[in-house]
Amino acid sequence: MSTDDAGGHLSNEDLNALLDGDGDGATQHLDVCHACADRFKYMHAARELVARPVPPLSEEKRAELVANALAAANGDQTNAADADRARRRGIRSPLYARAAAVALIAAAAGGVVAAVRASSHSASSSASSAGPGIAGGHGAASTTTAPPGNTQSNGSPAEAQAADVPTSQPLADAPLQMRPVLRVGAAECPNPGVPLPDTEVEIPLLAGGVGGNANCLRLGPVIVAGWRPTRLTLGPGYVLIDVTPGAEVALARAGLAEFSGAAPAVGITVPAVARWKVVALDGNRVLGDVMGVYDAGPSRKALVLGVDRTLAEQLQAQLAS
Amino acid sequence: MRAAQSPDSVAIDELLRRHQDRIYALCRRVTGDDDAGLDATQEALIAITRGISRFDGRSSFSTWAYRVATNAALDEVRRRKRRPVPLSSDQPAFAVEVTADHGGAVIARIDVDAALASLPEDHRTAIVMRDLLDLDYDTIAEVLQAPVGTVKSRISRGRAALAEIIRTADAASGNVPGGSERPKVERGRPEGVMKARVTNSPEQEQVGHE
Repeated sequence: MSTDDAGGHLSNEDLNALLDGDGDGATQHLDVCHACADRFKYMHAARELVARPVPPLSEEKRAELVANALAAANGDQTNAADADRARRRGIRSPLYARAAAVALIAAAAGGVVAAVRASSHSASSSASSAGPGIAGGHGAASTTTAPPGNTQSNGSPAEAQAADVPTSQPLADAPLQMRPVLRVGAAECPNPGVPLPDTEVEIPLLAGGVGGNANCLRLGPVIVAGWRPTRLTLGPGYVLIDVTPGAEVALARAGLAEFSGAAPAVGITVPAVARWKVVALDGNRVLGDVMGVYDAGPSRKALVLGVDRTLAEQLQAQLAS
Repeated sequence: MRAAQSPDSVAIDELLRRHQDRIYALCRRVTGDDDAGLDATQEALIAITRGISRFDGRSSFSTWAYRVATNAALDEVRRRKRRPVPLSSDQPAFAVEVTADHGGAVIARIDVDAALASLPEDHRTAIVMRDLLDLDYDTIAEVLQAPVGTVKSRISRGRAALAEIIRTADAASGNVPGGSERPKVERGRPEGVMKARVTNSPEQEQVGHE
């Protein structure tokens, strides 16, 4: 304990220590010194003032903050607002993810069927050309102008119908219901934390984001991949779905391109990402979950997901039979 | 924690939810404003989510999170260029409403945000961590990356400054200091006769010890 020189009173540090439960010797001084006791009283009041609990946030606001953080951490503040809207609409159940996953699988399957049909069951030829085609597609036009040699469907309504793809709905007009991809999480991941068995898939994306969680966003055979100015390498058996606004979802379904095991891994250099959204497909409707729409420019977006080797082989087997 | 650093969004979600109340409390009191506090909290949570993979574990997660939150709050304060209202004769910095309770003690209504805003930033952050979050000095020193002695000094000065504000308000109410009984010291939480009612507009809050 120390006292100041002037009047033998306790220093602020002594009173402070006393407040914190130390400086027992100072208490004796307070018993006999009204001035210090008074100072102590007000310092105690000061502590109580600061200790006044902050009114808690509402549960809604708490959820909003976390959802926005998860969404924004994926690289887009706009997405946070979208996620916010989705949350207000109550889109939060993992069941949505599950439903979307089923829809995705169905969509992917339908797309693969269409693609393989369009390519006369020529998986290898599609593999050799689809990658660069999609790579080019990210920076240009739409999938209605498929790259030379690309075996994708051109996404015409006739083909969509042939592939049993319902009429699509423009993305811009669809009732977007968004929520952060990350909310899908481990609940849908069959092997959380376990690397993808197909090690050819290289998705060195943002940790904590969709790419970083690719293995935990593996929804059955569907893998959400994508976005970031990085090189995305897809191994054999993987399929990219390319979405172009204006060509919409049906086109996306028909726009599958297959990278077969006969071809080396196909690299896609993704250009700078302006922003990305989180959407999902349910049949031909944009539902609001799971997938990323990668914005590669004012006129083009790309939804990137993968279908793993098992599904691709199953689909090819079905087609062959 | 490890799960949150792995590609497990659920773990990150849980981690954020577990800490967000205290992060918000810190941001709210440091910024002194509801909106600024929310904005700072949002920024802090985003920064935590983005940086979790780089968190090296040399400090506890909460320590790291408080550091992030403190920086976010101070950034927000600076961004908004929010400064305490200067004290003037015609515009008191602290709204004081005085009534006498049954024991003769004085109830002072003080805007806690204005009071905290009158402190230097480093004093404010330290005192909020100590008295609101109840962090120990070592942890605060780690969060603020300052020596423990410095932290103690900041908190001591901050409390003394706030005490003076309360004393002034108390004197303005006509209460004569010095005659009241001393708060009893008990595990560092003395109970005094003073009762302070703090108004945090628009909702009235109450704090005190009897």
